[in-house]
Amino acid sequence: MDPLLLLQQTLNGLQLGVMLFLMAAGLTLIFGIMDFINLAHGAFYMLGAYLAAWLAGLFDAFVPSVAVALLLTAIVGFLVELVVARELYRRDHLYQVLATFGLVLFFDELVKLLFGPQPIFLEPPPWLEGQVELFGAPYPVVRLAIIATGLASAVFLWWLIARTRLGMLIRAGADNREMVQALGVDIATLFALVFALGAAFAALAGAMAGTIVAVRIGMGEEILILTFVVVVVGGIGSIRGAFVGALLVGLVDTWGRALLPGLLGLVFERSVADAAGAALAPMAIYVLMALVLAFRPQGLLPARG
Amino acid sequence: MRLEVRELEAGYDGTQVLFGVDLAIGEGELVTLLGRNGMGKTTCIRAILGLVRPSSGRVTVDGREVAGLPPHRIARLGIGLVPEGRQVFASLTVEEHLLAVARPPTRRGYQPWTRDRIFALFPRLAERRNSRGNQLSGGEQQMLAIARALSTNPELLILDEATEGLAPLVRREIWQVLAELRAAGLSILLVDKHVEALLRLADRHYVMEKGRVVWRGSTAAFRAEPGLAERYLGV
Repeated sequence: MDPLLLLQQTLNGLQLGVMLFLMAAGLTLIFGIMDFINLAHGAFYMLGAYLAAWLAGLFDAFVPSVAVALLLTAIVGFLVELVVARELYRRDHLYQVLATFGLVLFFDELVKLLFGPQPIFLEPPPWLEGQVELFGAPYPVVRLAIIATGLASAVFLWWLIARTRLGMLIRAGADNREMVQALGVDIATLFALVFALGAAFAALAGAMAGTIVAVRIGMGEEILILTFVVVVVGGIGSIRGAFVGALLVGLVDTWGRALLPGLLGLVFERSVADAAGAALAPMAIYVLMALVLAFRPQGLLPARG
Repeated sequence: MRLEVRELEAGYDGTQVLFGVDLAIGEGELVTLLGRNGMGKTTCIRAILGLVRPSSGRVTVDGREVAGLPPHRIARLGIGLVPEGRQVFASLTVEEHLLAVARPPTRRGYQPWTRDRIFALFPRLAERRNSRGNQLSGGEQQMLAIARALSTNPELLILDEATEGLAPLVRREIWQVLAELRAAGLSILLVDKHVEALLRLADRHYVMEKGRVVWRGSTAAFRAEPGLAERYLGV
């Protein structure tokens, strides 16, 4: 096995992992505190990517464009909580799934109306273009920047949850929603803030993705499925779990795709190994999830207990 | 603060629990709510705080109608809840409990419950300030539940099963603290099973049976009526 290839694939896995963490953080908080299943979380990812690409195209200022895209998506998230989610907390999960699936369709159509059916691109700024040498192998700067931003966001989120009063209320709300209310905290506003925060993180993940792949309708649904795998693997409601689960899923998925054909090639004929590897690699994360569910059904780092 | 409850009816999912409860707690009073399990004491407290929506009747705080308001609005008028089963936050430290829901007093001249003042009242909590809610003993959790309610600077403290499951020594400590709080001017509504301690502590008592107040009166009247405790409280 080529160690440089392994290093590259590990970095790619980390990069996918931190993006998944940004998605999973919001999803797991919303699920953990409000017991609310939000299929529309992927729509925030897509919206963030589209808004960032659109603004960057208009103003030629990358960082401010991404920042404004986050803010706008956070506002959309706040409104979605106010108009749709708030009505659904007391309902069964089935209603939540149906309603938020409706939101997925709504946002897909809305984006099509606003930006057209063709994919668009978020050009990374010149200072993020090109490659750097890592131990003699070239690696794209933009992917390193994604890893760095993702890790910085994780630190920020840790600080927010562990050290601020808002974070204390979020944790208290996840422990015992009713008691938080009875002590005089407007839990509805707290939920709306968490929703907006989750949407902003999803938008950041979307904008990051936009710098390496095309921004298109339906991108949110693909990552949402991976995100749910992360939440289940990490433990529902747990930010630490989301972090560990996201890196694990990112690495397993990337390693699987890159290394499985080679590993199978040790046993089988080349053509068979390639075909089988390509077919089996996408299953790797689901095998991981099945193993976690079998041996630690509460997830690797559950929020409680 | 004066809390008044009149003709309060409430229940869960079509099962009525309260059938017209009347009670009142005046400024600086310590009042108990007595009765066997399942007679509606907890539901009454939950209905006062809006955690259960009253189906009819009135709940007023200083004359202002609060029935139907969301729980946080009612609590913000100056009511601090110490719930049944303590319900401390498992993932928050003692210190975080006192910070998370703290808010300034609503009334002028109210000496605020700072962290230091709360720790002076509960030295044990100061020692355990970095422990999480789920790492505390039952007695410590009860102290923390009281401390948490005090951090909201309430004028009325409502305690549901104030000493349930606590060792006699810890129980005595809680009674001592409640006496101090009362001396500090707080109004207190107290639910508990230890009638003797309550008689020493409280001014007036309400006895509930089957969702109604069936007896009310002063401590002296309670002592003067033989058989009262056996009849309604099963002691």
